Parts: sequence; C-alpha cells; structure tokens
Amino acid sequence: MNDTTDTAESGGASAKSAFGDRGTNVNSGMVYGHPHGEAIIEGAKAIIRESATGNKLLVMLDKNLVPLHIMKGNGSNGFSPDMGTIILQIPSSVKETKGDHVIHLIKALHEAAQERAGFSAPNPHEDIMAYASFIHGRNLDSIVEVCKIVKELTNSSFYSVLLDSLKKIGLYNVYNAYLDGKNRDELYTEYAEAYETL
Amino acid sequence: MSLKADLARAATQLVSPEVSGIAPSVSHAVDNMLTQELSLTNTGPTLQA
Repeated sequence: MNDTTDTAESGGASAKSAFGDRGTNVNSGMVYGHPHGEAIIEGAKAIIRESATGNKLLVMLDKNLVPLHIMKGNGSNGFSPDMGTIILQIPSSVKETKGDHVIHLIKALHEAAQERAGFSAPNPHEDIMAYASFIHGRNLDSIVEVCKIVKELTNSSFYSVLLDSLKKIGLYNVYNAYLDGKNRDELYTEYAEAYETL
Repeated sequence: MSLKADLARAATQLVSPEVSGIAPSVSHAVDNMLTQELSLTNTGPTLQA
C-alpha cells in the first residue's frame, strides 16, 4: 500500500498527524485523520446499506470487527493484513462521499472478512506462486462482492456515480462480465486485464 | 507499511494474474461467517487504538 499522505494541512498550528487526533471514536475502531472522514464514511455506509449484501457486509463495521482509519492522502486504499486494519486515503480537499470511496470500502471490507473467516495469505517467501494465486483469488472475490452490491444498487440514485467510478478504477469490464453471468475463470480474465490499473 | 508487506506486494506484482492462476473462491465461507456474526447478539470486542 502506498503511504503518500497529504500534508497540505499538516503544517498549521494544530499540526495533526495524518491519523488526526487519534482520540475520535477510538472505541469504535474508527480513526478519522481526515477532516471530513466521518461524514464521508457515514455517507458510504448509507449507500452500501441500501443493498442487502452490503448491509450484511457492514456487520464488519457495525460490530467493530475491523478498525478503519481514514487518512488524508493520495495513496492506495485497502485492508492491511499486517495491521489488521482498513486504510482509506482521501485528499483533504474532498468533503463528501464519492463513488470510489464506496467501492474501495466494499472491497476492503470483504478482504477483512476473508481474513476473519480464516483465509490468510501464505508466506510469499516460501511459495511465491501460492501467494500470488491467493492474493489474486482474494482480489477477485472482493471485486465480485463489489459487482454484486453495485448490481443490487441499480435502482439507487447513486448507481450512475458508481458506474462512473468503476470505469475510473478500471473495473467496468469486470462488472459487465459479471452482469453477463460469466463464470469465475472468465471474470478472472477480465480482472487480469484490469490488474495493472487496480 | 511494514517491510514484509512491501515485499509481499512486490512479489505479487512480479507474478501476474495470468501466470499465477487463481485460488478457489472463499466467498461462500465468508458469507457464512457474516451470517453467523449477524446472528450473534453481542457487540464484539472493544478495539484499542
């Protein structure tokens, strides 16, 4: 995961770190280092909750099963198995929920859920092929979860925004393959073509 | 991010999806876990910062 943090607001008098004051909602597992992090995440959760599958996945946050840190920054997003934490990096200038926040949160939550269900990556130094196979399989499972939830949000007012975000992230062809009922191997082909952009 | 995580990520980038193949789906087991969590009444452990 890239750790390029946004320091645009870190030089002021408050000099907060990218993780903010670390005191906000600590007991909930939420750490908001982004000035609008709480509103952005609550917005994303509200959208995800409109989907039955998404509502079920949100038990990971509802029951504090995985910590979530929202940082100021432009780096990559996702679940860190080493830290056991979901990290979302959002530029400090962003004030409201965007489609890519929703998609990244779904994917990260499913990755965290896989870890909680007992599926941990093998040691890459012992068998790099087994490790890569696991990681790509985990990615595809999480992306399929994204597709399933987005499809369930077809009637949501946010649907077109999600489609635009899938295009931006590079997953639009995977989503169309999912809608076409392609099997796992066929979806994997689309995932492999999109992998460089993920 | 830890050195271990950096190395693991580099390893994945070296082995493309086309080459490595794919592990079986675990989504069914994950769904079962989520269903079980939903059925439990407690609120889970309190997390520390």
